[in-house]
Amino acid sequence: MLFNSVEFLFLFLPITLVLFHFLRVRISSQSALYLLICSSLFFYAWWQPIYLLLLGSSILVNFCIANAIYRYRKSWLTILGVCLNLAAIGYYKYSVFFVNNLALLYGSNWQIEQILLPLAISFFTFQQIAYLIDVQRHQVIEPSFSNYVLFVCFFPQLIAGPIVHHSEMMPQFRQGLQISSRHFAVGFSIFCIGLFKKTVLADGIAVYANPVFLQAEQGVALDFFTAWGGALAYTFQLYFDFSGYSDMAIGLALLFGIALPLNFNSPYKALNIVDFWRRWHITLSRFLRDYLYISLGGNRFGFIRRYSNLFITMLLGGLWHGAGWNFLIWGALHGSYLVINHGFTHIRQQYLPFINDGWFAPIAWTITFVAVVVGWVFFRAESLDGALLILSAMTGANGISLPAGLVAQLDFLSPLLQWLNVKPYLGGGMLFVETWVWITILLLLSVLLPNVLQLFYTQLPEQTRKGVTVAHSAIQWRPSLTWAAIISLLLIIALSTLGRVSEFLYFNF
Amino acid sequence: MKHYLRFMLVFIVSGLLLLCSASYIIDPYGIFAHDKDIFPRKVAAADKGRTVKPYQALNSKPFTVLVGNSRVEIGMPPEHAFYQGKPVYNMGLPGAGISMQYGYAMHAINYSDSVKQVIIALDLLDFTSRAENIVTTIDNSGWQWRHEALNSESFADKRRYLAERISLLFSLSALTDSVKTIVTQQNNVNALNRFGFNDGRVYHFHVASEGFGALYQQKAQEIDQRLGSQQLVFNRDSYHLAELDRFITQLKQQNITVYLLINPYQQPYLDQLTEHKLGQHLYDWKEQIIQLAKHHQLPLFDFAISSSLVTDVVAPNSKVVEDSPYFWEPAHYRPAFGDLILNSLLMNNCHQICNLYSQ
Repeated sequence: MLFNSVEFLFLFLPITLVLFHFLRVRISSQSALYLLICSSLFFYAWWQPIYLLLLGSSILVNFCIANAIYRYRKSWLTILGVCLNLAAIGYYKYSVFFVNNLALLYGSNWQIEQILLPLAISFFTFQQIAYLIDVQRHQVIEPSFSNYVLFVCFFPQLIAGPIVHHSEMMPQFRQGLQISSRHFAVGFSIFCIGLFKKTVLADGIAVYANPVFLQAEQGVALDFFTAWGGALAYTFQLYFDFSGYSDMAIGLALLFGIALPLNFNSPYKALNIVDFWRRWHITLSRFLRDYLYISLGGNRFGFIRRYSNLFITMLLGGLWHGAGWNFLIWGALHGSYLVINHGFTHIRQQYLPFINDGWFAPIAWTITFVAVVVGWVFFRAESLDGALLILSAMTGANGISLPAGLVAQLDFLSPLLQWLNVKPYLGGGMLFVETWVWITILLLLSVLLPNVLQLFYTQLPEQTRKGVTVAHSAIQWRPSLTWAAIISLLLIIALSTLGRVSEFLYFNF
Repeated sequence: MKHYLRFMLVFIVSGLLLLCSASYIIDPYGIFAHDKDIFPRKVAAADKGRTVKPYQALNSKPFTVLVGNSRVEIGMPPEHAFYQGKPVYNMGLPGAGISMQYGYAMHAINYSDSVKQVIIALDLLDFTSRAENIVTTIDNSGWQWRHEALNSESFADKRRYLAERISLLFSLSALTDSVKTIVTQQNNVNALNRFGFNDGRVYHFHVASEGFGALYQQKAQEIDQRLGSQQLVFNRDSYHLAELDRFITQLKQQNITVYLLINPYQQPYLDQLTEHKLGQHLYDWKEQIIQLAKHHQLPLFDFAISSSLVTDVVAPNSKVVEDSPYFWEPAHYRPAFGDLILNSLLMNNCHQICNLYSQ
């Protein structure tokens, strides 16, 4: 079930909310938690009921292994648990990729049938691996099975995160759920903002990204502006899609009195790649740092090991997103970016003191943003050839063209257009203008406007703000008439897009 | 906080009502058939014909239905003695195959018993298949649900239909299209009226800014691209002729007068068909259509001939729309030619602009 579907918005959510609050007030917090578990399992089963068995058995097995680790304190149990999780995800997500590549390597015709990827497997597997490792590392355990089930399958975060940590969730379940009208007002407002970001902004710009990538896959030689238009459109589609989903998850959880961690902190405002990864998919970065990078040795064995660990972490982070060479390349690219970034920071501190933050900031922002856009081309393209075709067009290798109608309107720029050897082409003027208007608006929104954390900073629970630093914003949400009007308007516009339900991009990972 | 939530409830309910009312009054797709339409040019409907035309047709209670593709939509005049002063609905569907053209028309005809005459405008390319893949059956599931509406057996189709109907009143597209309808009433952009006629005003803009030459060049490129990328052929074993035959039979069973015509093309278009080895196919296709018309005892008006109106091509550098009164570009005739077509149909006389094959 999608958050932006009629079934969810007008049936599932209202019914669950009403029953939840009825049970919490009239019976007990525990009964309300049971309801949340049932509704979360129903929410998951809506997609493919059969995979409920996979989710259920994964929860059961991990719960038992965690208890065994806690009781017997044997590291082989942790290894067994992690291996079982990796085997499950390996089978469902990576087996086809590995078999196909092995077949290619050995020139054989081995083939296995394409397996339907269980929804959210990457998310619930990683959450549970983290739990097993922490039981081993810190000797913490959750004795209540129901709390554990809810920790894994709580529906607002089950499908596409944020990847929650047991230390953030279990105490909330144990304390009983304290819900006030503030939770409701803030949660609902954040949900509306997220819904607007997904349905209006992300889906709105998607129509300008998808055809460009499709053309590239078909081998069409793209021109400079078309390639950049497609790459930038996808850059904003992905951000507003995923951050919209995360906002909706945070808002929904608050409606049930539960605080989820922040997942996005205006990543496109980042001035370097290290900063970008502190702002983009924060809970995944945290997981990769705590359970992969640190496990590999982190920065404890000199800079070469540190950089290799960083690179390997990002490479595997890329593979986490999908079984394909493009994801590996994307991960490797970001691993390299991080290595270069750390290296440059070191050199700058030692030898380049004249670089001043003031004048360097726009340059740093541009370099970071372009590097991220280049990475997204690999992330989005279906094949390596498609990605390379777009990137080559982005360098101007296929020349620069503009719609003839636009060239006619830009007569006053004709010397410049001639100097740049800009060629006119027939038709497509409206599409060109719309693409770039969308890109400009979304760029301004992502760079100039405060994010949800900044807007609701004083209203959000501590768990959501934890570990994230944000600049103070002059624009602050208040429970006022003006904000009620603004949020209502966003919701109405978002609701008006329901006729064209589209999936969230991160459901694929 | 409770005040805030109450305010939100009031804003949301009143906002939704306001939005629906605005869409209903402005009627950006021309589907509510207001007696006095404040915004008669449905600019946003021009590129959504396949979606909105079935709903437009339901409310228009036409006496005459025009059937065909974009040539009919843009080339037929909305007023003519042929229509006998009664409502006419233009079911020309740009880019649609004949199965969709006839399916949409039948849907409009079956819905009301007002339809008494149907003009079917035919095009060679609508009857062709790829040489390596002669299509004998056609899958209409992509649009059939729209006509079955709530009578469909599939829950998904019913849901899809309802979602579409609601979205035509309440959706972000309806909202932006309402604004577009108000803002661009006077602009040189294409617009449908609520009877399905496209006024083709975007041609005025292109001709004025770039001249006829650019239009002709673009069309020629399009045709070359379409015909060059695949070898199209007319094959009598494909589903097309049978589909037309069935459509005519259905119309005759309902005592509807049928007029068959072959759309006119300007000489450069005819030349391009020959260049792409479709000259013989055009000849064969016409032969088959003549046989079919004879079989149904219908006259056939063939305007795809080298008449003087067709061979007279405008100077490429002209930026004056009046310089080419009969064609916008080689593939699309203007309503002035549509007038002549209807004159011929009305008088049963070709006046040297067509060949008439009588039964």
